[in-house]
Amino acid sequence: MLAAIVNPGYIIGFLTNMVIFALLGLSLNIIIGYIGYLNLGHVGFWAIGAYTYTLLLMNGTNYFVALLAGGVAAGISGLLLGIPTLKLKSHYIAIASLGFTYIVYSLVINLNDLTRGPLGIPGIPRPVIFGIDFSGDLAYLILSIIIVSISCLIIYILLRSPWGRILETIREDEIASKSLGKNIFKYKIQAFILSAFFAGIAGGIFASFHEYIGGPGAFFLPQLLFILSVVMMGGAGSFWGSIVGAAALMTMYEAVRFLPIEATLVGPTQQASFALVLILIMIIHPRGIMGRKIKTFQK
Amino acid sequence: MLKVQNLHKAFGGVKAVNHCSFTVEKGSITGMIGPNGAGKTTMFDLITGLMEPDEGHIIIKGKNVTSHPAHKRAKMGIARTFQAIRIFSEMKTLDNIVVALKDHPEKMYQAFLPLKKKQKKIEERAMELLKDVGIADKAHLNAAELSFGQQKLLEIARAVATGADLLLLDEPAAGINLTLLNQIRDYILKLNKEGKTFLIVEHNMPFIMGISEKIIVLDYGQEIAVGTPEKIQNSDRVIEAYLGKKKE
Repeated sequence: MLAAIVNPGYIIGFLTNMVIFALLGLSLNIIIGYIGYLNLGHVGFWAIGAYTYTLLLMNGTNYFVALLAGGVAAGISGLLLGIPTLKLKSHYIAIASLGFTYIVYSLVINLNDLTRGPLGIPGIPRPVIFGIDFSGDLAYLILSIIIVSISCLIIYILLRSPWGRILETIREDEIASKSLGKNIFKYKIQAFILSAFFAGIAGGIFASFHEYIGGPGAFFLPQLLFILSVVMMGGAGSFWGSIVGAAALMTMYEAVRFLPIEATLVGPTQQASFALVLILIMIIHPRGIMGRKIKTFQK
Repeated sequence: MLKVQNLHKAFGGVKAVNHCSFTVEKGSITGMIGPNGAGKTTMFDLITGLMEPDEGHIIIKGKNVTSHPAHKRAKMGIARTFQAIRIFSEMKTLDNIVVALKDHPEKMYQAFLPLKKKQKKIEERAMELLKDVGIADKAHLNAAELSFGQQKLLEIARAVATGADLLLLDEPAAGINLTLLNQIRDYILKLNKEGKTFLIVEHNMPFIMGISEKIIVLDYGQEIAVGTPEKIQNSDRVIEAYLGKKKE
């Protein structure tokens, strides 16, 4: 057991996952914590990013082009989801975006020619950039950290800017924001595109990390719940919260492996444990570890 | 400055605003009174674009804005406060003002430009506005931590921050003490001297009669009397709306 903990391969994998989920959590936090909408479509953006990246990369596209294209494809889907839904009230947006998750999931499962359906796509390569081979686990972790750090920096700059301040006015009071002359629909759309774009980037990193995407149940509700938990545990509306949340949740998730239980029970116990943590957080400290007040869901 | 023509808005069978017309002259302070449910707040919502009228026109600065969305109207220089305060309570007091200022660099790409100087200037301007209403010492607190009266002042200052020259205040005097009331009155008079136009809904009669040049009385969504405060106070029609008809 101890051997597993100190096994560097295991730790590297653990950290890579953590980095990916930090970006997923942070990008979702733009919507949940800043404009204050419960978006349940985030795994859909993630999936679109992952598949776009994979299909382009495996057809010989340059790594960065494929990665950005994944982000752009996800961003466009964010725009397409945002236009009809962002004029709705917040709980209707939650339902509509959940529908989006289902649509993307069924497309992934059924577009056999493109996605190989439930079989998934194996053999996704890792990149060689400027002669540096990133196929090793440690090298790929470093690459992931670099890309995620740049992404987080961009998100940080935006959220701390006057633009980010307008997003907060939307969370606080849409009507007041409108009355000050803010075209809040435009800001909501921009936030949605931004959020989706980085979910797409996370999709690309994820695909090459596992060197495989798909399979039944991938990019669906369990992952959605996990990303949501990252946001809520870290704290909605807190930049660092999402990163802390990803670290805390991943640690807890992995810790279950080392409990003295049967191997077949590990999966269900992991799911049950983070569901329990989510419930406890909502009861004991709904602002999350580093979060601020979330009042949006009471609207 | 503002012209309301034959405006009509019904909620089911209730005619909240019933073919109502009036004007607010540039540079004036106009009061709007009427019993509860007379349609005053609905009128504000229609003027500012938060609601769409069923009929009629709203003309601001000579432009028909009836089909303009709220944010577009606000950009034309119209700002308001709300009966139930709507401040950004989980944001800093200062930021409540900063977001409202006209040259707030809020475009997405501007986040990546070096605008430190501009931001500082804006914050200084916001600070001045907070000073004007006497809550500059609370600038770095969350707006939620302000007292009710201070929140009202903040909301008015925020409306002023937009640079609007037509200000619609929905019950600025409600629920606050006399000292603060006098402060708000002085602030309104000062801004009016600087050229701002006011339309004020208020139930506090001494306050509104003292400050307004013209009073519009609404009842059941219709303007039943328009005139100087003296004229309104002696109007049988107005007394009837508030107190009911005298028995013959």
